[in-house]
Amino acid sequence: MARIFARLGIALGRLAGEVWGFAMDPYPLHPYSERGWLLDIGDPAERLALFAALETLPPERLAEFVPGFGNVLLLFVEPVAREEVARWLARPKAPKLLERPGQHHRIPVRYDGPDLAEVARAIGVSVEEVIGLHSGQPYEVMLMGFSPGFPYLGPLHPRLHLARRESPRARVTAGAVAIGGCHAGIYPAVSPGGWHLLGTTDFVLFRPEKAGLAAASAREVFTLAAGDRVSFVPIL
Amino acid sequence: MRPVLEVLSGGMGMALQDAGRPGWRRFGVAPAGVMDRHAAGAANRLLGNPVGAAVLELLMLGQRLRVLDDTWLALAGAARAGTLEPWSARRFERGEVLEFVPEAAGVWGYLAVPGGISAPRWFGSVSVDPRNGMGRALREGDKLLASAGDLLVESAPSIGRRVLRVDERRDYARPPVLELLAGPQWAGFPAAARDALVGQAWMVSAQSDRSGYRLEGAPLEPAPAILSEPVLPGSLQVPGNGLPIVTLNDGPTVGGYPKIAILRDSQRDWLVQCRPETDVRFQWSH
Repeated sequence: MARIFARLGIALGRLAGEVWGFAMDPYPLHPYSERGWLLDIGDPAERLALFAALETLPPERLAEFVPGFGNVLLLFVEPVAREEVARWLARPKAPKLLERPGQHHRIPVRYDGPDLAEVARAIGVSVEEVIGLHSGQPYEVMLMGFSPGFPYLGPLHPRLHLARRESPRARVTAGAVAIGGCHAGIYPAVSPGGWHLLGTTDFVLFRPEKAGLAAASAREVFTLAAGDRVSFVPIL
Repeated sequence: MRPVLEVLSGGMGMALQDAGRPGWRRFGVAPAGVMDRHAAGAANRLLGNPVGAAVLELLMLGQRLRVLDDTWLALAGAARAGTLEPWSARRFERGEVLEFVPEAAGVWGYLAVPGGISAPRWFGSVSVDPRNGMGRALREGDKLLASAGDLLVESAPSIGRRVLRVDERRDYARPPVLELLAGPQWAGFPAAARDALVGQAWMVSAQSDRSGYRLEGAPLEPAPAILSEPVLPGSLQVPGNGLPIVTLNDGPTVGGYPKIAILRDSQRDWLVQCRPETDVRFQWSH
């Protein structure tokens, strides 16, 4: 609870003052490898603004950034001093960038997953209610990991929070729409998996054939990016 | 581009590798690339290639290749093929066959061809990832293409061999005590765990591969669980059983195990050459 109030305090403070323009370093930076800094940042709006800034006006010598659930890794091409990173974070950002929203994707889902009935039983509701809980609210792409293009979506409705399957499946089909722990996700390709499968989609998340083209942009290869919003639309 | 080699047998394992595909971690794409950058770079330098040019990465032994065209070939790391010794290059004639035999120590060997091997790339790398739709593994009958014609040794046409300077070769039977930097959750581990990490010899587990090397020894007292966050190659993750896993090139890009340490970048090339069942020791870097 204290953490929520602290976050709220920081957010309000930012609204009142200039964005990221604090005299003090408002973000804890932790060294990770000779050329990386982990930046603690959990607030969705702040994360979105940071991702936009990192994509459009990155700090000098940034090699790449990698979102975690409560932080972001800033990986540079060579060692960079903490002060230099803090200076970039403290730089006022253009308001237009701050307002830039992530894309919103509507993903059609056939709720035909093999675990649908089991999930309904486990939480004591009907299959229709599971579908309603899963498709009833938009999600944010919090990060991608596990495999290329696999999105961790949140927040998942608390009633759908379930431990992963005791024995993971050796083969989950591409396009499987699933839930695991406190997240929803979609398997972009055939892979092993321990999440509960609720349905399937034809929505393509990863186009490896485009990854061979030097000129292809990230959006041509991956449909989603961290910070995007996703809504599931049930189809028959 | 010219075909220079044909795969007769894959032995324990072989794959095309280069500098990998960093830059795509935030989409869940592992960096891949050569396990031992020092050795792969040495093989390339013997032929005047860029250090990150595509090479054939050989696991241990058993591979057989036929030479399809007169060409220079360079070998470095933990591999040996008949008269082609590691850390050297020589000219081969069409029809010769290379049979790789084990070295006394080490895991990975690297074979370089003039100009580097030419092959399809995904995210700029020839490294394949069949599960995710990026190419397929090498198999018998595949031909490897050299990006450049054969080397010209104009000044002394009789020269048929090159060797790397002795101080640039490595003896994998004698790895140094590997230097560690504090990991992001270092402070969350009990002091006893931080001491125990550097106070014992760890054994590299047989359950090790390009995704990660598992270590066996006296388990470390674990740290509190964390939310999933980015994981870099060389990180020592400590799961609930207290036995560290060193994440490597094909490993996950994010993970939820606390990371007590990360190898100094230069030390990873030594670690990956430590064979299963051999010992490895660590020290905190200052």
